[in-house]
Amino acid sequence: MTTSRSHATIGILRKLRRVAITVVAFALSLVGLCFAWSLAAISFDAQNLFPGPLASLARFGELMANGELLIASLYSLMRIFVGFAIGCALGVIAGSLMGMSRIVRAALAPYIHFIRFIPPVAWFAPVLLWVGAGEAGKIILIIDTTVFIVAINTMLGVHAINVDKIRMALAMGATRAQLFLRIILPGAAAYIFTGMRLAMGNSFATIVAAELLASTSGLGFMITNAQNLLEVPTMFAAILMLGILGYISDVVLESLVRRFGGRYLLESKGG
Amino acid sequence: MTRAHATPLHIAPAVGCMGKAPNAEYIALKDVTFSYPGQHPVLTDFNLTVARGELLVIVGESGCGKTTALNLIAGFESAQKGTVSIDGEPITGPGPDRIVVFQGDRSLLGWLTALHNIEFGLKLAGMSRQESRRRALEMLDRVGLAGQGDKYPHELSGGMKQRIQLARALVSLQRVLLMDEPFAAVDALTRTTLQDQLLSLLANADATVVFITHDIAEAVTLADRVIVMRRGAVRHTLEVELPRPRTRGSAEFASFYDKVERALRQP
Amino acid sequence: MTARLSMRTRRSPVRIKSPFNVLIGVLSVCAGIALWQYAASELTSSLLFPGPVKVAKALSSRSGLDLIGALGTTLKRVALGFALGSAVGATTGILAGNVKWLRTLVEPYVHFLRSIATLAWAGPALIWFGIGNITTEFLIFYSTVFIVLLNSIVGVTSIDEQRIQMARSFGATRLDVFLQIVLPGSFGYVLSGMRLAMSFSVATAISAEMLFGTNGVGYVIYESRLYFNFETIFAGLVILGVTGLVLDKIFTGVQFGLFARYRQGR
Repeated sequence: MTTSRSHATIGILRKLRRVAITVVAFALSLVGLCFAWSLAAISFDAQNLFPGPLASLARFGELMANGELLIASLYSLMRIFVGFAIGCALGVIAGSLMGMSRIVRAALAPYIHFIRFIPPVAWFAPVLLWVGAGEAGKIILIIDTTVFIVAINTMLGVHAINVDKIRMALAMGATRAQLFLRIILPGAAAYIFTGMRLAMGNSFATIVAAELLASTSGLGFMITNAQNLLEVPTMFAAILMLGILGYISDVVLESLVRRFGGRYLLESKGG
Repeated sequence: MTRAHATPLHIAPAVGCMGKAPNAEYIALKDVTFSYPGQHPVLTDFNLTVARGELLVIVGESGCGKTTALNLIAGFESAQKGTVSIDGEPITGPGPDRIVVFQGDRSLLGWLTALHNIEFGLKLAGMSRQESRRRALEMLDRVGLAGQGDKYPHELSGGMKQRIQLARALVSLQRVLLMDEPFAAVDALTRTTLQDQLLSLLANADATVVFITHDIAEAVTLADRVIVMRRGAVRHTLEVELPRPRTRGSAEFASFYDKVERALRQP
Repeated sequence: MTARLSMRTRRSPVRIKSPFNVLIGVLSVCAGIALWQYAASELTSSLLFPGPVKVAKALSSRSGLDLIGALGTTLKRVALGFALGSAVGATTGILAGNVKWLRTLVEPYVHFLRSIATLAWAGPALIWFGIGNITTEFLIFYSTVFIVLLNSIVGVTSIDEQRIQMARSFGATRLDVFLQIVLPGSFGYVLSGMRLAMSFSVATAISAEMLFGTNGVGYVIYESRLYFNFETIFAGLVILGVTGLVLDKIFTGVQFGLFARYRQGR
């Protein structure tokens, strides 16, 4: 006769088994991939043109150790963060206004739904002429990448706030400022962070493109530089770094979405 | 008809204590006509008064205008014609002198804990952290949710969420409490508990309450006076002269229940 | 004192396309264009910042035609990579959505690869495939495939289990279930993934053209900066905006018009 305790144990064991299978399967696939990768690498003549996993990791380690990778990352990240911060601030303000006022929304909508379709990189052409190839230009590009997505998502978030919350706050005597800070912003936060999450991914793409085109520092420059020297391992290292940074920032923003109740928003991120 | 006042629940000045209206017309809707944009009028030449300190219950079928009347008192809508006033002063918008408890849980702030939700009105008014926390904890206890303060709304049951709403309203209560079918989304057993809890919480408060419900038993349990609305007008008024506390199974209760039910069914 | 926000104390939804809103939009755009013209002619040197009049002239002139031609080149590029990427992404995604072990296998790699900016691969790709269309198509493919893949997976997994059970209870085979329930049910998601990927693939194409291209809108815009030809640059930007808008509208038209019955969640 099985007791309820042994039922529970069986359940836990089953779960563990499932997790173990997943982990083993993943590990195996990773090994298999590395194997195939190594084979492909060997079939290329020059090791430098298509390095295998070991060579790539070795290079990655080298570049981390001598700090090059970290410095390049810092340059890229700094540009992203500054532009991102400004873009998000502008986006949240614009989006909130649009969400709260029908008129503002109708007035701003044509601009937003037109300018956001212009690829941010395309703006690099005039921006380079106006402010040169320094930091300002790249930051401007990131602002462009960020502001529209964040504004649209903020607006959606503000719209999604249930009117009962607003009425409740008004009946409690909330001032305009209090309503905005205590109801509108937190209420739309899940959407805002979702927009920020999307914008962050795009920002990485934009900064890489900008650094490939016109930069003397950053991960994109690292890639371009390595290209001139036909050094693919270094490129792979930079690419791996980009993947890691992108993953971390995504996880952080995703947890912020969750914190503010956005469980339902996480599904269709575009993946 | 009066309820025993011991010490008031809290002491706060009522907004607009000048312009005293007669106590029987503390809240007054006079010749009010209201329609939502592009629709037929919900209320036409509507008249309603609420006496100071009374617990008025409005019953009526869906669409009869009871929620609209409440929204007008709350200040969420303005009448196209007529006046809506409290203590003689016209109502121009929502305010802390007329706190609202909504149906359902959508007015709870999902990103705040239960305790922070209760504190919300106090924080808006600028109360210090210690004081607001103290009052909120006390009210949390009084609604029977001691220890649940750190939970988030989505972790609470429907009945518990309504109690949080009640606590939030009562801890910031000034003079008037407006309740729009607050217990409708809650199961029947919890409902009666909440009704009793509401009455005991209001017992020491100097509050005027307007309560909307579909539930006749609820009306008879709570009301000093019941009004029946149909199609935008008050059709019947009943004083519920039952001493408190009221027993739901008693013969007197049943007779009032019958009266209300018949009034509801009359064309 | 207390706030009196005129909006949103009602429960009625905000109407989007009312004539009033359209009017405000039109007025706003007119004001914007006027402001643009003013800024361009009075506030800065019109050499550096062309006004709407100059841009319009550029669009309707020879360089305007050239731009349209360049647009055609760019779009053809995009079409190929996008089509390939969508096809591969959708097929793999739908398969993965159906086959649990495939999904667990594929998802982590897809997520990782997707978080790498597409253009970073331009470095290695140029070395492997050289400067040319293969590299560009590879990049466009890369930017499309993962998005469509992930959306397709979501599309399959979001199909209500009840529907599948219902079909089974009518005696449907696995193939039937796949063709009649899974495919139509996930189609809407595949489309929305494609819509999302569309703007990325255009952006990738433009970036590639700027970086190493010899034709296409990106190339023309970037090249024009060497001659300080702001009119052409701005004309190009306008064309890009219009293109993006039109493409997006086509997708929404397909999603909610032609294939409305496949909308997500139906």
